[in-house]
Amino acid sequence: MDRRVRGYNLLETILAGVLFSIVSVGLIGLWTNYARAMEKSRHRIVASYLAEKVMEECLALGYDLVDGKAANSPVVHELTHKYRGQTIPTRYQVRVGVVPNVGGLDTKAVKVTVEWHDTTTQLNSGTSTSPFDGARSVVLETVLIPG
Amino acid sequence: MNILSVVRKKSHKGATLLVIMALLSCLVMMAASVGLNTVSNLNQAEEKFLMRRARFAALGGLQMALSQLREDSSWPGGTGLHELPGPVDLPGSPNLEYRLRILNNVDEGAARIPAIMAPDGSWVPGMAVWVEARARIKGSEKEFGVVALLSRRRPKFEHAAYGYGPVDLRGATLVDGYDSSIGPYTSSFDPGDSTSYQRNASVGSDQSIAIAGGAAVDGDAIVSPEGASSGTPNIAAAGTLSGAEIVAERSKMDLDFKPPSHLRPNMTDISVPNGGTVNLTPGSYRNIELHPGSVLNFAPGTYYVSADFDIDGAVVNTTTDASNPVIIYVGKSMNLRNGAQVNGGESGTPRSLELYFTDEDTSGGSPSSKLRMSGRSELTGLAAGRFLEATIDNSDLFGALIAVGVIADGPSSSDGSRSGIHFDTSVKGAAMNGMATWQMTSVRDQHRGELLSGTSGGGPESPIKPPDYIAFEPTTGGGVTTGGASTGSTGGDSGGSSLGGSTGGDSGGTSGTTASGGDIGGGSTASTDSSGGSSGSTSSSDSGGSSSSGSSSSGSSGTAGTTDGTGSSSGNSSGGGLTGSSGTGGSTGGRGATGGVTTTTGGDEGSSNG
Repeated sequence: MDRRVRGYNLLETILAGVLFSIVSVGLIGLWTNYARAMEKSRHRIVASYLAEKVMEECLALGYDLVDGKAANSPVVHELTHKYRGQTIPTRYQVRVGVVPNVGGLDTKAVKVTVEWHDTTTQLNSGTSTSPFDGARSVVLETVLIPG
Repeated sequence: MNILSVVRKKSHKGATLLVIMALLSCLVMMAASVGLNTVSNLNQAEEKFLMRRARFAALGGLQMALSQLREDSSWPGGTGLHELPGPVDLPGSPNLEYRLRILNNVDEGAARIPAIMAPDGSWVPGMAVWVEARARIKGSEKEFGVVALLSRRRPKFEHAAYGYGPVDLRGATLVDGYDSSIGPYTSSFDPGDSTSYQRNASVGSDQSIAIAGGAAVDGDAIVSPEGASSGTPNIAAAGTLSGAEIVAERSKMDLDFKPPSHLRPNMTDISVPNGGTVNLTPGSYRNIELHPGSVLNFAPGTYYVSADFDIDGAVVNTTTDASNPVIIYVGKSMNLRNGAQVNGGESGTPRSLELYFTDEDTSGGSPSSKLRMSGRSELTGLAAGRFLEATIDNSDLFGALIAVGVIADGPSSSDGSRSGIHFDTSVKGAAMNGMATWQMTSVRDQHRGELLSGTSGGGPESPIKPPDYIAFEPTTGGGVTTGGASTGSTGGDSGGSSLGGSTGGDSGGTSGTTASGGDIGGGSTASTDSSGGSSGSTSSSDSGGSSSSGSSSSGSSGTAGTTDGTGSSSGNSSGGGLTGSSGTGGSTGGRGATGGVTTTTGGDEGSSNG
């Protein structure tokens, strides 16, 4: 093999290696972001299902009994999932708020808020009395009337 | 070196780079694919959540519509399709907005209401309202729509007595059945003789039934599962029970009654002195008080007594025409005592009097109403109330009863003084005329056609046109009315009514009708009058009685209701019950524009308690 060919092969290999590294690093970063986004999305889906479930319960209770639901809130649900062989807990706090006589009628405005942190470190960090400060949330609202 | 080896060597040039680039291209494409998929998933999740928010907002919009309708059955402006201005904010949620379309097919004054088709192709039965609510998050294009069919349930009387709470039959209480369509009540039930058992008068409860030693029931005792422990019904039958003890599903008869929207509470009180007689016309009143020996005659139609109805040793007559009954909504209480007789006693027709209690007594902290019978009083009719507390003490009820609590107590059977609940089996299973508050019959997701709650009535998958809604009685509003349905073949007539004075009914039937003026009883304490709605549309000979109003100091004036003759077979009348602060009798009559002969009977007497 002549020297030109040998040099070319070396350069080619180096270039390929560099290119592979750059793209791989980019893809790994991208992949991590995807995974993070999916994880956040998963939390949001779980939270919105939880909010829907609680809101349906409020509708079933109706105007007269929904205040009891509000009085018993917030309720914290801890749900776990497996990630890389580890069991990861996520805590969702459900708050039910009832505001009477909205809209000038005999009505109750019902608001269901579900809050959570995307990472457990956020939730468990510090000794805050309100561990869901700054948490992400979803909100569902409706109106109930008597009868 | 042959040619092949030269080619092979040349092809090695850049091969590694090409392979790596191809590999990277694949990886990038895969990453892009996964990325797009992730973004799509995120968008879908977000969109689903937004739709979820909009869905609950739309359901909230439906609730707002229902609330408005409960305030006024003609909302948002009578029969027809109404697109309300909007969107409007959902109360308490400034980020959400909704808009409504309403198809109101309610005409409480009409005798027959045909079904009509809604914009989504579904049928809206008579006396029902179709509501479409579309909601969205502000700034979002995505809307979520729900469609509901709203209607007012009507009661059915399946038992002699039914209690949402306990039913307590004490002393010598007798519960039996008869069929008023065959003949008057005759007592054939002998608790001591099993051959006399017909087992046609059941009692039911959502909690418990107690039948004391001297009491007897000629039928089953039925409790709902709530009134049973471990499958054993909570029934204490020390007395006679000719039927079985049964656990059955709840009756679901718990209706909150509300008078038709045209019957607004007013301040008109009626007091009939000893021996006095009053003819009352459909309309709204506050208190009615009958003193011993007095007589109150109800004309067929719908009444609203918003406070108390007290009958002390007096007689109340209604109608013998069960197809055109007297319907009375009672706000707080009805009290029969000292031999009061309402609607003919055992020879009366229970179907001709329907009493619905609207639970407006909140003195105890929660809504309630009361029916009290004592001192050998007799009530012939159907009575129901969601929070009605019924006490029958040494008295008889012919018909049927639905209440939150039932207590019947007869002191002894030895002297014949016993309480009785005598079930009219002819009403069993029939939907009566009482109107409960508006409820959602069905709610449907407009996008998928999915039924969210209720029955399928009125949905797009119900292409069969429902039958017309046929009301039992066409009269609306107050006002003394004669002619009309009974006499007017070509023209209806109507007149006002009076208390403490009189009124003539102006009439305009071309064939001649007779209007009787309002008779008077004890005057009235009220100084206001009410006017009801008007009706009639095809009159060929309208009556002349337009309204005049005012409180009267002598009985000669009074108020006439507005009148419109109807051109067909029924004359509708409207107008208010009337006023007069201290009537002295007297009368006025009126003639119809086209000369219907009018005969007026003036008020008999008045009193000065106005």
